[in-house]
Amino acid sequence: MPAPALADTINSSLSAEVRQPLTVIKNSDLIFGNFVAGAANSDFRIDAVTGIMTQLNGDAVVIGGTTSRASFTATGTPFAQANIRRSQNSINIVRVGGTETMRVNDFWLGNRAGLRDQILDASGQATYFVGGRLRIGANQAPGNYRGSFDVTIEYF
Amino acid sequence: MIKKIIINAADKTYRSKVTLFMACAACSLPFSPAIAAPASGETRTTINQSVVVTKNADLFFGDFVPGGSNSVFRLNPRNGNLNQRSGDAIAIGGTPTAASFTASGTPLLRVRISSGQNRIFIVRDGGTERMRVNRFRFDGRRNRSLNAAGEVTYRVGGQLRVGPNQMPGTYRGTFAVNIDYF
Repeated sequence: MPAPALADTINSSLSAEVRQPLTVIKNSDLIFGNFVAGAANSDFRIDAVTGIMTQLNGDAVVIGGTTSRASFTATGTPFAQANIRRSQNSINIVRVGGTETMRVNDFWLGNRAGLRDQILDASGQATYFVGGRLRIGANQAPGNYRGSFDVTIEYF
Repeated sequence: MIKKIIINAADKTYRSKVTLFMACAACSLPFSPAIAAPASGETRTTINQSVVVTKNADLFFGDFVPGGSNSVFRLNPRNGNLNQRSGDAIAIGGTPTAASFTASGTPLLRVRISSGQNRIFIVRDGGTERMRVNRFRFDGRRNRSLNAAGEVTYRVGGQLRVGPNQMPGTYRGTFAVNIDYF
């Protein structure tokens, strides 16, 4: 005679995913190039998707030099989603050796398709671009202007 | 009998918790901070001084006695020499001089000179008679680099046509050059 069932068993599944640390390297800085200031405020924007700079207003003149969007490559777990976010909306860049400033804002994030949120590829990498908007003041003091901005790339 | 079964179940549960805890302890140190990675970029740009152009000297062709036909003279911007190309007018001296301009701006940047016109007519003081000046030429390359002091000098020559029996007098005119960064 079989013994009565005094105990029952139920299975529950448990899963955990351990991801590789995300590492980020900077490939290039955000460089607006060389200008001659005008008599009015002048705005220039670098497109994160195309890297092309356009003049939005004002009478400052672009006279060449290197222009580039910033670029970062994140490395982590293949096929994981990793999103880039900016840490600030506006910064002031400062003349080297002086105190004069110019505003850089509207940091524009994306990849070649304009996406901030990306799936890391099979090798665990994705590249993100950063554009932005520079305002050159009327009769802006000549010189080299520098500043820094922060972004964060994190798993979703 | 029933009591024994209950004790066994409790033992299994306890072991399971210990195992799970150990696994987490083993993996947590290297991997737990790895959910976000901050990065910093630099942004930079350069504002340059506007190009300022100063005239050092005007373009002088000198003094002539007209002939019976059109006569053409060229002033060489490299050496300031006046050369007769055609005609029978005679150059009798004066001070033939190439025009000279100095551009000032941000050191080592590239600038380009361009002529504001292809030809002009210079007009006799107190009259309406004219002579043509054309072929404005520079003493070398149009595109140059400003030196360490932020300066570069261009000299400009040209070609004058003295008409047959050109009315005597002093003839004047103006021409423009543009010097810009490029």
